[in-house]
Amino acid sequence: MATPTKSETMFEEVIDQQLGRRSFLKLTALGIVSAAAATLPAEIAEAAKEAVTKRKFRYGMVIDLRRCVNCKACTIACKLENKTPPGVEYNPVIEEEIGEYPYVKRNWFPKPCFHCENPPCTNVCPVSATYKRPEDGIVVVDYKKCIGCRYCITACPYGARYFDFGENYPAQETDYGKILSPEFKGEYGLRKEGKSPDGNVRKCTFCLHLQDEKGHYSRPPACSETCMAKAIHFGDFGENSDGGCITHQDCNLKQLLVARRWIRLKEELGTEPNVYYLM
Amino acid sequence: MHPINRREFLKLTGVVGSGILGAGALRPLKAIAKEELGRGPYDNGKWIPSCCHMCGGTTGIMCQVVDGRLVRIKPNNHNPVGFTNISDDFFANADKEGAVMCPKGNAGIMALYDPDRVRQPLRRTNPQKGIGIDPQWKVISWEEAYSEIVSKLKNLRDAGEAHQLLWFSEDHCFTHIQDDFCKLFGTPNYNMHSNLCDVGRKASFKILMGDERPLIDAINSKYMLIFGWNPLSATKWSHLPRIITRGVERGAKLVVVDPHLSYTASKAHQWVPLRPGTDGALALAMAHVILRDNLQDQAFIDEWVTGFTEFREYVKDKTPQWAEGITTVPAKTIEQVAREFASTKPALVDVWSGTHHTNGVYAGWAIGSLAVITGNVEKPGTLVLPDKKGNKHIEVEADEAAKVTLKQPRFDGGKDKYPYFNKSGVYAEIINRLSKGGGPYQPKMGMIVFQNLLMAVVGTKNVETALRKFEFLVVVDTMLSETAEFADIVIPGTTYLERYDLNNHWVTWPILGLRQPVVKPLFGQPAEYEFVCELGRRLGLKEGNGGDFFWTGHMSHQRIEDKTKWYEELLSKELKEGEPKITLEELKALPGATWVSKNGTKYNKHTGAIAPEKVQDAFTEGALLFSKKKDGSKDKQIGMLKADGTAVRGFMTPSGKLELYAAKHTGKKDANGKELSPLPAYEPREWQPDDKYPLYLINWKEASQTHSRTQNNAFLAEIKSTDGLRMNKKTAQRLGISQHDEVWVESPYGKVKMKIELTEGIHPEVVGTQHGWGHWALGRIAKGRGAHTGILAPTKPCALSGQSLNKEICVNVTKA
Amino acid sequence: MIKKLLWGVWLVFFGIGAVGVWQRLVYGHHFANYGSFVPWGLWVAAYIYFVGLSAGSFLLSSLIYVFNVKQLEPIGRLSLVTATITLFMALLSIWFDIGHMERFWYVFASPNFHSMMAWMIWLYTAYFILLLAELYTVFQNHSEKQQRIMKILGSIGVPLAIAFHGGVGALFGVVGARIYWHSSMFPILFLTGALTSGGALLLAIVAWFWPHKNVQHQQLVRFLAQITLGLLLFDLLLEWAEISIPLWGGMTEHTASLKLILFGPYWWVFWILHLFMGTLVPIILLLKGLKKPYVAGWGGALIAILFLTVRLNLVIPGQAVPILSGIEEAIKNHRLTTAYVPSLHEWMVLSFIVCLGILVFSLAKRKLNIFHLEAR
Repeated sequence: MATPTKSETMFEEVIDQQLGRRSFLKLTALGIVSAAAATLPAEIAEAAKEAVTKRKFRYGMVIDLRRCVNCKACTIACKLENKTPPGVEYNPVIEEEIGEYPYVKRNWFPKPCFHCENPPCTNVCPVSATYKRPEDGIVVVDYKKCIGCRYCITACPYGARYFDFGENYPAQETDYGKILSPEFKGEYGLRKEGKSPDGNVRKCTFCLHLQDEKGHYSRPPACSETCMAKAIHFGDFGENSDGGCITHQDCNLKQLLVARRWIRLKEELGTEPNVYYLM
Repeated sequence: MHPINRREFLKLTGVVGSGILGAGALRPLKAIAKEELGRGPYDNGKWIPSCCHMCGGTTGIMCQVVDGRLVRIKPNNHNPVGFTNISDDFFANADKEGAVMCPKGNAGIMALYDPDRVRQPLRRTNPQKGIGIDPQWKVISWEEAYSEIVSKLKNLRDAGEAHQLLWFSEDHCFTHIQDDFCKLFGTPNYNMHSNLCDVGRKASFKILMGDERPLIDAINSKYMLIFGWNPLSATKWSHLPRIITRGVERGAKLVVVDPHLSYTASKAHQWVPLRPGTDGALALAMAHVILRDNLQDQAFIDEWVTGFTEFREYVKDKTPQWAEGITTVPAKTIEQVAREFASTKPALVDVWSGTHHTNGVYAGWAIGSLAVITGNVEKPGTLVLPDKKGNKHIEVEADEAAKVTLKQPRFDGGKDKYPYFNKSGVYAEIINRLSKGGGPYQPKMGMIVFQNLLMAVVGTKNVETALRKFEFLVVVDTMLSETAEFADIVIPGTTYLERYDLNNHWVTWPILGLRQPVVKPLFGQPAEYEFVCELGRRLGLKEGNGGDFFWTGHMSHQRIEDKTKWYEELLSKELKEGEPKITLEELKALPGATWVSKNGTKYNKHTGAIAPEKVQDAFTEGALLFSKKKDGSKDKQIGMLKADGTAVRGFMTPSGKLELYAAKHTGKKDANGKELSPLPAYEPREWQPDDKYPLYLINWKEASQTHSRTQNNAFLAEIKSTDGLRMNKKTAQRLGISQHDEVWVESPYGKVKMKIELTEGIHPEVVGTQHGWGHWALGRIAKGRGAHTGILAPTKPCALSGQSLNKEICVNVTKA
Repeated sequence: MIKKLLWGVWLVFFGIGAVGVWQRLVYGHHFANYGSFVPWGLWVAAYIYFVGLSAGSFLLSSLIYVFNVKQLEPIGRLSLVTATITLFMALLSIWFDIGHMERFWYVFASPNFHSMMAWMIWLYTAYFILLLAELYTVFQNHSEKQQRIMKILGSIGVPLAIAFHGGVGALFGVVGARIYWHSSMFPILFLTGALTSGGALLLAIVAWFWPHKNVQHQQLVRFLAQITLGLLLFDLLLEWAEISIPLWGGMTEHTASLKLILFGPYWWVFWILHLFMGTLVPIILLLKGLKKPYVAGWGGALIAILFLTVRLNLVIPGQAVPILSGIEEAIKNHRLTTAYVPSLHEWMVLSFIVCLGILVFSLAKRKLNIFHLEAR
């Protein structure tokens, strides 16, 4: 099998990624940027189309709120998996009380990053450090590039992005501090002050590091695997997928969305979240 | 071996680390090549199956260990505790869906690597003991620690005062060896945590069903009526959220009776708030409705229930209107829930620690009665009696010296004082007797293993006085708890990730999960069982037959120097002689290190026929069948003879049936000298609100913390770092209190400052908080968060069961 | 004597500021109070404040070189110097704010054409270069060629300054996630604000530091005061529109941030510092100061200094409303709250930047002929 050389592979992927982002230009409201977009050479526009069709997966979640019991195991499982520092929370559970005594209820939902189809956060990054992966739609932050301006945090309508202030749990001084975060397959090494991801914006990656080389998950993201009520279904909504769920073998995500009533948050913004909540 | 190959790696960096410019694209490459050198493996190492112990739930876990460090903990799909309590569900679905873990289990890594852990033995240099008094710890060597503890123990034993050692232990870790030690040493005063938890419930169901711990088959149920329990949040058994939400998904209605809108109540179709301590009245009124409207399962009652007539007579005047006045639950609601419950099959009803009040045992009995009169017992979707078979605790026989002191009465009065005494002891009685004097003797020495009495037993001042009474106190704990601050010597304990245990609980059929050391004890300290073993060895404790219990390998019968190996053999022996009939090594080799009986959940066990040869061999007393001891005397109840003469298992009650009327109560007295009621009587709880202390104070458990022991966990502190005083908005309005106000919460026993959390989700006469906050020790995170409401209560045991009554408190709340 | 005293005060603040900068460099963002729910704090507000002063001063200078407004000719050099120094201060503020200071140049190496921030950075880079060119030219001897170059540079500069400072406004305006920011008015509001604050700053400098307090000076101040007053009133009008329309509409989502500004815990920033001290009092002072340059200087100074409150009230309240209701209670962490107040450390760093600006200005004043005296 003829394998492309390293530099070729990289170049292709770089182009894909850049062009994938371009395709979101249509969203823009500002003339100045539209003008820039309009001046794109035709071949780039052509390549852009191609990049979009190269999408292999559309990973997402269907979270069954009838099951979710607000135990917050997902929140902690995520911390355990990704070794995120204090204040960096990829999947918090949000709760509110409604009603009046005795007809009162507490409502809640876990909130990972929604890995939107039209992510408003990636558009604003001045250095292209955050982007939607063309092959599977997962929105990631390249810690090596991110300058830590936090513009993307303001642009996310869901509060899914967190700045790493370089703060640590007390356990950092113990052996815990010698454990590698598996995030991005351990690429960033041991946590050190001033070294990325310290000083970067961070967010849920759908536990990207659990993917094999072909992009298939070897096990579901930590939050989904640990979920006490098995409410978080993770899988692929893509056109190539039969809707099978990675968390539960017997479950079909696409079928769930047909069978049950669901919502996505702030649908009116047109962000097209890839996380659905079953009501 | 490197976890990812180079090509994959480059691809990843290409995607993640790209830049549009050539230079930009190359830059990350270089940076990473350098990084790679300092990068450890992230995805190799070993996956070791074990069992959690962030709480007593003992969920199965898989631990990834890389370079001797714990890296990740994941659910163990082979252990049913993390999936379901019913075998059919487990066998059919566990592989496909996978087991779960709770937030505490996921936060276990923070318990292991807590920098505030005790690392070395400590000796106090300040003879003064008290809350807020610095013990002025001095690090001592293990040798010093052992020799000092052993010499104290030896003095006690030599003086014939072995019984004056009080031992307190956690209830799911290495209990057998501690129990054995106490026996061989000669003290009858081995106590453990259960009496802070559910011995009240145990008593209720013991009276009613002859089994202490029926479990809910939620997944098969169509109606779940939960009293004073928060199973979707206080998820001691991690399968609870799954089985209950599945039950609901399959059409069950969930109704929760609780003064506080717990998360379970929030998930319920209906929340029924009531006055604390009135659950018994509510249950009786429901029984009234069911019997009035003839909704009972008469056939079941006729066959399997005793005392129905008396019970029916008793509830005749317990009308919904009567109960409304007591509980504040509208009569209409009582009628509705009772009728729905009785007419939906299968239905289940259950209660846990909502009954931590003086009427608790009877209330639990009344609640259980609802299941009995509707025939919702031992059927799929109802209350099921678990078939608990696991490792066998092999009885040790004490030597002559020990036998003498073992004959001494228990310090807490034991079963002579408490009609439903549980082997876990009566902490509240012990504390009261220690602090106020009384009791058969004055204990001299205390050994507290992984228990924090100051936070766990209410009546903090009283507990303080009690702890001061020990001439010599040893505390074994991973953390410097409030209680450890009263110790003369503190021994560093191990977390569940550093030691062994066998776990067989919480599901309806026999299973057994192994807890094993996934990392070496971080500070080279011995596991608790090794510590106990060492004490036994140094004391030269012998068995009645002269055997060297703490030296001899229980499988090899050889003298074993290595204490871990010795303990492994002990566990092997327990496994071999228990239900699994395998060795420890064989258990380790099983998938998920879990032994699961293929026999599965059995329903309607009471109808199971007793084999004719067993009937023949049995010791018969009335309609009851007992096994025989070697000398032919009666041993354990095994079944009953039905009216038609067939021998069946029945229930392990004095009548062999479910008892709505307990004849044996007649003439018996509780710890306060009050006659026992033969019926599940409602009596107002003793401490009622008055003008001075007009509000009920309750407390509860949530998924975020285990009792008072996990508050120093850095992960958990992020999902819940403290709790305020939850108060109904209308009550606050009446009292002129607003959101987040600081208030004084005052009772005759003391006062604490708390922050108000306004809610609509609590009964207007009630204020409440999550239990476990208000540490003044334990560690840097736990310290100083929230309030410890234990100060506000008296130390008081339930007069029937010895259950510590943690929830019977009345307070006044004023702006601080 | 007073001068010495003032320099003493400067030294104290500079020293404190230097400690802040040292903390920032050694401890990163540890001592800053912003978090992940209010990710932008004082330094971002300071950045848009300084950048506004710069754009405002620059645009005023272009009145001279492009539009031949003769009355302002004496402040040509001054306004360019001021524009440069405040731009420098702005860049310093935002530099301290980013997580990886060493990576600031990635904006050029790895740009994102869709990012309004990227555009803004390129535009102000261009603007910076242009400023330097203008500065160089303006300090040449007066000649026709010089005038011509200035006119060309100025003509490029005007749209550039409008684009770049409008871009700063747009940077906020395009954020659809924050309703309060998501307004087409922002670019215009930012420009008006820039002109107002820039004009006010120049007014204060001219009123107080002009070497010759003569009739010409009085006329110059009077003219500047009139311009500033006009801009201030126009700015007020826009502000009224920006506040009143959503309030009138009354949708909670639209009014949440405004209500925080008007009636929140820091209501006094708007009512007392901005509206009273920064607007009403200056109007009176400016009217009075038409004849008394010194008083007009106070008016200008108050506007210029207190314009920081306008910037703060733009940046912070947009973020101080939880993006999802209940999100603040989800995790207990001091970074995860919308209750933001700048920390002492943040003020210290700002103090350093201001002191540095003052130092550079006074050096320029001493070494360069910034008041352009021979040009008259």
